[in-house]
Amino acid sequence: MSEATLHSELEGDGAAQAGPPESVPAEEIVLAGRYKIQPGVVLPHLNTPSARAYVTLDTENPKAALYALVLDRNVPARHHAIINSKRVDHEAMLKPVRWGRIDWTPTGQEEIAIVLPQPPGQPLMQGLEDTVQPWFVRDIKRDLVGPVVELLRRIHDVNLTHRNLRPTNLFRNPEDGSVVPGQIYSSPAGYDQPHLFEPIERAQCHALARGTGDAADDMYALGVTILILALGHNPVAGLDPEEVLRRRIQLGSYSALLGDNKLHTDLAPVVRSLLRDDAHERWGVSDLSNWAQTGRVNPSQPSPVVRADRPFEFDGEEALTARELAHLLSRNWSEASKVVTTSNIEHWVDRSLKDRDLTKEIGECSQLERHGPKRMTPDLLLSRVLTKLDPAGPIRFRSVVAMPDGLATANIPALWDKGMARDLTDLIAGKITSFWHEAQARPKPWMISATEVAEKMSVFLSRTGVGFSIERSAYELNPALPCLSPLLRSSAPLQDRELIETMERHAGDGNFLFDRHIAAFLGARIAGSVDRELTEIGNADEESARRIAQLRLLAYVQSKNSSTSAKKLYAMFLEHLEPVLNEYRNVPMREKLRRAARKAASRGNLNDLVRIVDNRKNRAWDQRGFEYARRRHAQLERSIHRLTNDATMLHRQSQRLGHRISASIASMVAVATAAVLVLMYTG
Amino acid sequence: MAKKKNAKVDAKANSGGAARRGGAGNTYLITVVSFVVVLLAIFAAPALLVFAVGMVPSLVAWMIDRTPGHNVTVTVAAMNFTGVAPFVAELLIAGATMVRATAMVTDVFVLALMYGAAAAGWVLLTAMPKVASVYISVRNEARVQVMQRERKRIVEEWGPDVRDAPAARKPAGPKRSKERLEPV
Repeated sequence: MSEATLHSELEGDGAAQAGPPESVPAEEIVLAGRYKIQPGVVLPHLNTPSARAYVTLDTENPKAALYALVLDRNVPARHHAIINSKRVDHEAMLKPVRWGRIDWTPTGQEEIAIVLPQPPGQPLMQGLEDTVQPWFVRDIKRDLVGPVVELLRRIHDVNLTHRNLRPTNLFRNPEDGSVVPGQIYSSPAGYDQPHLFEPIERAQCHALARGTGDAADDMYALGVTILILALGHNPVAGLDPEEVLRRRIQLGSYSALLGDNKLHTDLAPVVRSLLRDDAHERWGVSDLSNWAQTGRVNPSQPSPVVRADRPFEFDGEEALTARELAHLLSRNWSEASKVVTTSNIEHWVDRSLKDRDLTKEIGECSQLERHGPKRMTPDLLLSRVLTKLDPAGPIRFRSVVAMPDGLATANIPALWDKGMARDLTDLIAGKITSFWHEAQARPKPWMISATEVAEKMSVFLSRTGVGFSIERSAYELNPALPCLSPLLRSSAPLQDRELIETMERHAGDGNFLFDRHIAAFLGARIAGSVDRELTEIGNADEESARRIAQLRLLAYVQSKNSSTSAKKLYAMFLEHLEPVLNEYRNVPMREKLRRAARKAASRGNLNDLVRIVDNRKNRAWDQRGFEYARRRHAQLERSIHRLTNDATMLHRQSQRLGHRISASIASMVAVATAAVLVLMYTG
Repeated sequence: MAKKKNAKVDAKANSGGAARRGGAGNTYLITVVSFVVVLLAIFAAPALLVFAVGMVPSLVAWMIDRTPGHNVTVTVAAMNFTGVAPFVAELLIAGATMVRATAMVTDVFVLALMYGAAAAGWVLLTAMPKVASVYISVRNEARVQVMQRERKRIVEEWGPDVRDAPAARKPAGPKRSKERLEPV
């Protein structure tokens, strides 16, 4: 398709107004046999920090204005949102049309793509550093709050969160001026959000561990969006995110973000109520909707923050509140773990903060409960103390800073960071998540699912064998994460069937295609449990036994996807299982099995190979036969040696036989003589 | 336990067989000699004298014979009897008197014949083991060839590792006829 044709179609659909695409001639890539992605036509305004947007054509509905987001394979799509978005009954909701893996020819790699309808119009801001005409309060009410709050209400009704609200992902419909929120599917919740759009506790986390969150987090992001639009610029643009975060903790988000700027008097209490750092004090959808409809403001009353008489000095900085101290300590873990073993924190809380209850709770952090960890380490103690100091804050444990509902995605960076994987494992083993939940004064909607995730992680991380550990935890808890095995290089299979197909494609490359990633991915994706097979792989102490166990697992996966032929994979296993065939002692049987394996190769059915190389009856027969043959051989050796070398025995046998023959001859002579004499005497 | 029991039974059977073989030889010899002695004592005491003197080498052979089955005694005695029997028969035919008997046993020629016959028995005992040795060697050679062929077949079928020393426990042999090798 030519560039001109493309432009005319886009214009015809009104989508050309959404910004000029950057065009470079390139071959179309087809998803699901229908959606033609144009790698040469990028839509910059729809790009996200982790995905690039390309114009896409629906061959069955050419007028539909679609685009495809090609994802970073290390950042999984938001699977829960993709599935549940269908239940959101609102026309402004951008629902994914299709998603899956594609052969991305520009890089020669497989990538994950999501096809979406293009949002109408331009984003409210092209970039967060930009300046726009400040919005009037009535525009904010009518065009932004009205439609967005209505959509958020529908989203929250189906237990979803948007977590992607920001001026660069909000689009203004050129027809009526209303604002439409952009897509939410290309990355885990909050991952694409700049730190200032996240509440303090989630902004402190690793971008992949911010968690799914709840309605309060969406309201906070909407509050920041209103603040920026009302000012016409981002008041903290260009500032160091860590410095902004520190100021937010010290001054509160509203004061820290607003700085010296002034908001309209009608808008200030609204934004202040939306930017409350305590989620329970923050305005909800109904409060904001009520303001948008009636103009009445019922500002929330903040709880006073207790400030200390004297600051706690640590690492060259000072903290005046418990939350500040928790943040300060978590930034220098090794030093903080020394401080926590002293009573300095307790004394400061008691004497300067004058909070007897918190002092007592911190003192009790070192106690071991029945269902807690078996041993208390300085790291565990520090993590517990930080939770007590800042209960609403994230779980902090060495290099891990994650919200409990973000632990599932926190597994992903740990796949490549062994230190983080170890920290995550120790965190789960130390029951820090349970401690965090118990420390919460009021429950939140996501806590139950977060507890379930922690329990699952506990199961997977407690086992270190192949198919378990951090890899299994990551794949099990992130259904949209493709298999990231380095052996598969350019591929990104999402399902077990796709993995078999991918392995079949790579099987001739010379590597043996099986590693911890593949095992864990299969364990997580295949319907039904393959834990027994995975355990066999882990328990195999010999190479051949391990190979057979791996083959058995893949054969099972193949049998579940019966249409998949795996001739190259079969050949690869046959080559690597040659030592297994050589283990058969009986040469004719070995040759028979080898012939049978080669004969079955044309079918590419891995189960055939399993039956050939892993036949217990054959093995038992071979083992017994070999023992018998060895014994018989030894017996023959001894007999031959005796017959050829034992002169004493030969002499003895000769003597015995010679004497017997002598006796016989002599007896015959004697009898003959006697007979002759008798005949003579009688005759 | 069963194996021990079987071993005991085998040992008994073997020792019993040897005893029977030795006992049969002895019984045969004692029966023949006793029959001859009794007959001679009843009907011709002088002939008994000739027989007694003539069979002295057999007595000596019996005394020194430690071979199983007493084949040495049987051989010497049988040949000795072959030498003594004609003279006893001659004495009986001519009239068994003590004078004739005394003359006979003092005759060097007679003694030489009787003892020479016994010596022939010893010659037989010396020569026959060598003949037997040749026969046994040929027979063993054939057996070795059969065993070497079997040994070679085992190595071909089970590989060179089969030459290693076997495990202590004796395993049951493969039941080819009953076990079907799958999926070959």
